[in-house]
Amino acid sequence: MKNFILHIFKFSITVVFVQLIILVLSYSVTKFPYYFDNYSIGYVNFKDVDLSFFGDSHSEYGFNDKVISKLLNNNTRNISLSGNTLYNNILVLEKVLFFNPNIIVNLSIGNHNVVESYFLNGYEVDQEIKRWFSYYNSRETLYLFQKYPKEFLKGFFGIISTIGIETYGFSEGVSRMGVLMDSNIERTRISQNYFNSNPMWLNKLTTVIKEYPNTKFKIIRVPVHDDVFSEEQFYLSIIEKITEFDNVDFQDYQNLDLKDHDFRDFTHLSKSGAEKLSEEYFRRN
Amino acid sequence: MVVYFGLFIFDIMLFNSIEFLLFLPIVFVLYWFVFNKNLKHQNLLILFSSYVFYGWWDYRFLSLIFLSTIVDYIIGLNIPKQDSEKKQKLLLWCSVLFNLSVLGFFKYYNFFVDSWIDLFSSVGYEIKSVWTLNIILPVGISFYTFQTMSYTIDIYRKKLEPTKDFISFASFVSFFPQLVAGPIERASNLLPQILQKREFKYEQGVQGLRLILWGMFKKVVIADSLSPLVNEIFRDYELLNGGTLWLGAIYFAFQIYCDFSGYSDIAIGTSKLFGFELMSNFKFPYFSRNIGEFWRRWHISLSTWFRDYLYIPLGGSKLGKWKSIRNIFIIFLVSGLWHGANWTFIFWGLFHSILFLPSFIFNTNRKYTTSIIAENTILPSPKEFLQVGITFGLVTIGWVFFRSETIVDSFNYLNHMIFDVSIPNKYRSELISVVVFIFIEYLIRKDERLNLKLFKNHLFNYILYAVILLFIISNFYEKSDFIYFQF
Repeated sequence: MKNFILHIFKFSITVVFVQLIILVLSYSVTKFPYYFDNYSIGYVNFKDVDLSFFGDSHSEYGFNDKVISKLLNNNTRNISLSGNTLYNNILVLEKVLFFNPNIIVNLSIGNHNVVESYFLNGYEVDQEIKRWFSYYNSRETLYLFQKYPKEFLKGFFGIISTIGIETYGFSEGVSRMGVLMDSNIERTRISQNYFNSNPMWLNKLTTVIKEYPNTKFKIIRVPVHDDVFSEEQFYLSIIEKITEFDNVDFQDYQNLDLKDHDFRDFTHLSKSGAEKLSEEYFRRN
Repeated sequence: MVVYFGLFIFDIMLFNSIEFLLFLPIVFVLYWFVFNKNLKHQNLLILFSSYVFYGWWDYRFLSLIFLSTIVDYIIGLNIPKQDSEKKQKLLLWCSVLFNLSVLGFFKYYNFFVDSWIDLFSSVGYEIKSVWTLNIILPVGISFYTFQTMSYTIDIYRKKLEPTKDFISFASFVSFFPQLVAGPIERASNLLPQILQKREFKYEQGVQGLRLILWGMFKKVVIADSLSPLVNEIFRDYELLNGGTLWLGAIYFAFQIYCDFSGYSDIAIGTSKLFGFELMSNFKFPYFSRNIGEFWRRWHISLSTWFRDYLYIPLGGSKLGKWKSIRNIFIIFLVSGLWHGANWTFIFWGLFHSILFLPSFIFNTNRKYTTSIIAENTILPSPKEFLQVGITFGLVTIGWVFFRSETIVDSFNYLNHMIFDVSIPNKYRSELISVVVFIFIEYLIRKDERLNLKLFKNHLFNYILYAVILLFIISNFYEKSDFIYFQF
């Protein structure tokens, strides 16, 4: 029995040792200037990208980077990802700008984003920490540890599964796929469960904007169906704060002439909607 | 009509839950440090812990296990006392009928009622379904009823002496590591171990921990991450292309394998921590070279149960070709029905019997009884590779019946999957983890007792186990049931 207990102790030490190696690896892979494009199944170097889109599923479904690349004759990449919070998008943005400050940044901020506060409200914090730990600075790490110690430890010891594609960055390339976009999926109304406004993402974004004064930032509003459009006053007040900076423009596509079939559901565009939005983006830029 | 309605129901104490992570060390410490001096006390602790484990889900169903235990204990004691074969047989039938009635009522009552109603409706008679009851299926009922039945059958066959020690017998019936999802233990293997004094063995304990770790990995990391994709693909199958449907069926093949064999590994590993050896339940079934070999490697405790207690009593393969074929159909259909009260499971059994028949007719079903793929080589031969590929493909097609909600769904799914030849265009990313898992299984394919010593160097093995543990923690974010709990 003594040997058995000793065995468990030695194993625990090994776990801590392996976790340290994983941490080092996790930090190292964030220093690679690539993300994985699942559509073309290959790595894309941020340094080769001229124009980029950041955001959640709204912009992921909204902009067809293949169409825009062709129209603008450049390398446009839609790096948006479903479920990504605005805060996490800014973390990715920071990394991309570190490698390529000349990139043109299109950051999708919708009405639903300005009131989100995932970083604060405890929603799947362990999952968030697991995935984004190596992106956090010391202030953010300390904040999360103090506020969510249990979830923090769970996320911290779970970093192993996020090394690789997820830490590099990842894009499904859904707007380019014609698979589910054209199918007749029932449109369901998304319940708008707003939390109290959280200024953390705004502070983070303005810090990044200030840090890269020569980079061109465009804040993009991807259209949503009129039936779910809300929170307009608050949204505009936030956008006003961001566009105070000289290197930031606001491009609003909410009034783009879209028919019902251009929407996949109330908040996401279909393939035809994405093409219309991408062409409109070209016309305005 | 409500037969049982849960008022005080907790979650099932899953192996992959915080409750079990606390429960196991407490029982372990009590077992080896407090009750280690006296065998009776140790067995009483096993019984008590097993009842807590089961009662955590719904304590009222403990009465069912207790009743089953009492009936088979009394019948078991009385069978040898009868002076004639006829009386012994009568007692055996009492035990079998009691167990099958309990199982039949809780598991199959509604299925048969609904099937009769459907049958009458199809010929124009409309019957209101007043006979349908709202019955809760007691967790693990298919497992412990089969286990107790084997006890009385073995006594009748004079292969086993009945035990007078009620606590030990009750511990055998309700032994918590394998109570709710197997392996279905034979009394001849487990009961003698319960009756004799156990000592803690370092090697056995360490091997138990390794098995728990590997079982958890299979369940938490592989099965649980495939589960949402499988659910989506089988739900939206009409919208997806054929290639993606193949992917869905393959994912389910690995989900169910990792889920169920993961449970068995944890059960066997946990038993080792308490000094018990349970039978193997899975031996790398997806490396099988024909269907016969697959069934010798998949859910071994159930297939050997059906072989010993159904196929052989029916005459096995000794009554001529036609009766043997009949017997094969019977055991596969019963095996399908054992998994659940749904026509999809019966079709699954029928499909496997059809796959099995050619090898039975041409006497190739006993091929590969002891060897494993690439026995003395690093890579399999092209022939083996092809055999494994074909067997896996056929088994995967069978899983579509198993997983679909209805028979109509399964045929539609298969139709789309087979005739829409295309490359998967969704859900591809998880394929990496499946390929990595197959690679690891291939590396350890000769290690049937799962010692999991991949390296000669201890440190490397420790690092490997640490990596596995961290992956488990990483994916250990929500409780998910084991698929076989519903059977």
